[in-house]
Amino acid sequence: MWREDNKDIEKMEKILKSIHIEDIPSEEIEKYKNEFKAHLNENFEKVTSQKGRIRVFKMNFAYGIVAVVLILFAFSFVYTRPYFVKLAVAKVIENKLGYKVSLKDIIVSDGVGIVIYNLDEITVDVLNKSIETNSPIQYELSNEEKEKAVEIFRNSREAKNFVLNPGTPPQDVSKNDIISVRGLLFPKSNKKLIELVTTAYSAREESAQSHRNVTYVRFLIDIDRGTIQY
Amino acid sequence: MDEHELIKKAIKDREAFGKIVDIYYKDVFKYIYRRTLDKEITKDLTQETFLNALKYLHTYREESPILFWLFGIATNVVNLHYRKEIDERKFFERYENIHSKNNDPPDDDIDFKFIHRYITTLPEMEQVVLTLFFFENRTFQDIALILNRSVNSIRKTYYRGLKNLKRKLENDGYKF
Repeated sequence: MWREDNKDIEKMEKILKSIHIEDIPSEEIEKYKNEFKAHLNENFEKVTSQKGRIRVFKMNFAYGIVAVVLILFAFSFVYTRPYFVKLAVAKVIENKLGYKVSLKDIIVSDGVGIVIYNLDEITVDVLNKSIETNSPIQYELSNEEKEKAVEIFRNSREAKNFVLNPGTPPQDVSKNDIISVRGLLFPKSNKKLIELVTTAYSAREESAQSHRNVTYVRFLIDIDRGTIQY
Repeated sequence: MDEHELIKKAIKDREAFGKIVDIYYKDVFKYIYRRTLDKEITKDLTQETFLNALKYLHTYREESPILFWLFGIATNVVNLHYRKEIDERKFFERYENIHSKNNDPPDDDIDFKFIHRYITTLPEMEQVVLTLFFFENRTFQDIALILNRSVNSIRKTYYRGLKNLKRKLENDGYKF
């Protein structure tokens, strides 16, 4: 098959090589050339100015694209900047205090990152890498806030599957008695959290219900987000 | 003045460009004629080739001889012309006319007019490669420079073109 193909191609090559082409008389081509040169003499400026226009158009197009890219970059920075601040804040806290904080818990305001950790408000200035820690101020809760906090607590996954100590089985504390509810205001971020104290059981031996001890556990509720923070 | 200086000058100078036309007009005309086989069309397409060359002369990088660069422009101009003809259905009408007049199997003695009819029915790149190789006596290396492709790809197109051409001739009753 390959040999046959090869033979056919050789035949085709032979045929094509044997073809004689009748040349157009040189005088005729010369006549066409002179006609074209006459046309060129009349239109040279027009064609070269067209070339200039194409170049100007290309330059304008390139500048336009650069401008659009810069505008897009500037807009995207508005949205990406808080994210970069959050990353920097998390890094500073991890290096200086040894805590790992979640990016979603960091509040960014005026280039400063604030995070509430262990009932402390930690303020991090990303530029000079300084850290300031503030304690919350207690404030009077309205009945509505109280009710909302209790509702969030009772329906929360954290309360329904509460693990008192690592290695112990989870327990449902969502229906347990509520010992106290108080409002905490964090001064720098103006963030309000509600501290709710309830009961949980710690067993000396896991299977023995009779030896259970009552202990108090604290939940921090963020009523703006409708979640338990800690 | 050497060629490099002439080209540099021709970007803005009418006379210098005129000299380029003097030197290369004939070669470009003949190449286009071998692809179109029509003097009037060739005349127009040669003119278009040189006007395009004037427009884009500042982009010529001297990586290949200027004649090859002009052949490259001419190739695009001719291909565009055929595409326009196909869009306007002129090409098919012309091809059908040729076929209706050509029911008898051809003789052993094939002339350029006859083979050209079949070459123009091949895919664009095969037409260009076969024309440049057989009727312009260009090597694979030259064709690769003209078309800005690798020698290997030109070689493949060449063999594919020959096979296609043979098949088309056989379909019309030509016996090898």
